[in-house]
Amino acid sequence: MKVFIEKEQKHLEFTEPCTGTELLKKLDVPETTILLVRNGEVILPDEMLNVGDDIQLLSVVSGG
Amino acid sequence: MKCTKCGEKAVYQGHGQAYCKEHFLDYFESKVFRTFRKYQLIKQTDKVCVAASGGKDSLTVLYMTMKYCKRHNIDFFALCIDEGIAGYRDHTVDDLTLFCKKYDIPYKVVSFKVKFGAGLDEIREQAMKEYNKKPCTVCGILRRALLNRASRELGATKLVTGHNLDDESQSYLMNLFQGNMRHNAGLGPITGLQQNKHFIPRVKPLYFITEKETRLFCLLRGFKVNFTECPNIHLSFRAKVRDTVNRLEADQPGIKQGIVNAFLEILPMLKENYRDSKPFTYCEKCGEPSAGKICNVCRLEDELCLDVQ
Repeated sequence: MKVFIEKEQKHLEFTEPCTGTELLKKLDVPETTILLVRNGEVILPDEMLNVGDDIQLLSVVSGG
Repeated sequence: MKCTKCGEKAVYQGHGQAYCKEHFLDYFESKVFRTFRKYQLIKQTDKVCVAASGGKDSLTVLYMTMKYCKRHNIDFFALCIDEGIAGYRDHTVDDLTLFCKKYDIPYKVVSFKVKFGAGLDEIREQAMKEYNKKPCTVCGILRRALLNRASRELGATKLVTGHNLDDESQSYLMNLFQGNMRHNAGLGPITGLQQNKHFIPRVKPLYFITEKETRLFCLLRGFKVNFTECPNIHLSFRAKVRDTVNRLEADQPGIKQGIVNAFLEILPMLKENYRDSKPFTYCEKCGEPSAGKICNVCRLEDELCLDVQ
């Protein structure tokens, strides 16, 4: 699955499916600081992310 | 997870509830309108200025204020301060301009460059090297002063800002850590300690809304919001406090709300304690309200050789 972290403008790739919560834990990103978007739709972190999914972690923290 | 109201797929979870898109938007707008009403943020006779930069918080508060003002037939406009931070503010000003044109909102952009003779990028290095001042401190002083002056000159009687629950919890803790409870007395849904015709009262309709809720609102409403971070933010004390609070919130949801609830409990006592503790004074140089003989803007003008208009 392709993962885009907006705050760092970073692209990553993961080969194993996992839940959103597991992904955030792996990346050490607090759930309160992002919105999780799967294939263009906002989802909650308890949902499963599959290998072909396009994932975005949108930053909710103010920039200034 | 399913929406607790209708069983559709949830996009939001908080306060023991889960909401689909439609019910999240209902929840969000009701919460903001409740804040307008509960704290009487705006009156029918007000002329409302919305401080808007084009970021997610200001577009959201501008949209919600527009809805409220149209519903109650209240005069309003948007005011943008362009601090002159390349690669940051120029993008958000473009977003704001598009937004105002789309919703037919009158707006005005006022820049540091025109009002102070220099943008933040130009004075940043000198402020840091020669005066050991963080850019956020300089920016904060100039932006606050300019918002007040410009909104007053444009005839506003209320200044709406996009400050949210995250901002308020951070501000309270920052003042607490610095032992500055007088500054905390000036926080709250309506800011300020004393009424004065030179100060336009600032009101915060997003007071009980988190940043996460605001970003979700923008996304679901289809507002164009680019993620841009101020290049100076990493130098600020606020960024450290913000990151700490976010870590705590992740471990124990509800921390931010708890901080603000506790603060609101003591706020009346703080206001009572500090309201008359210092007489209102005016700057000997420019005549604006000031805590000392010379206001902070005039001090900066001298130190950084600004040209205040």
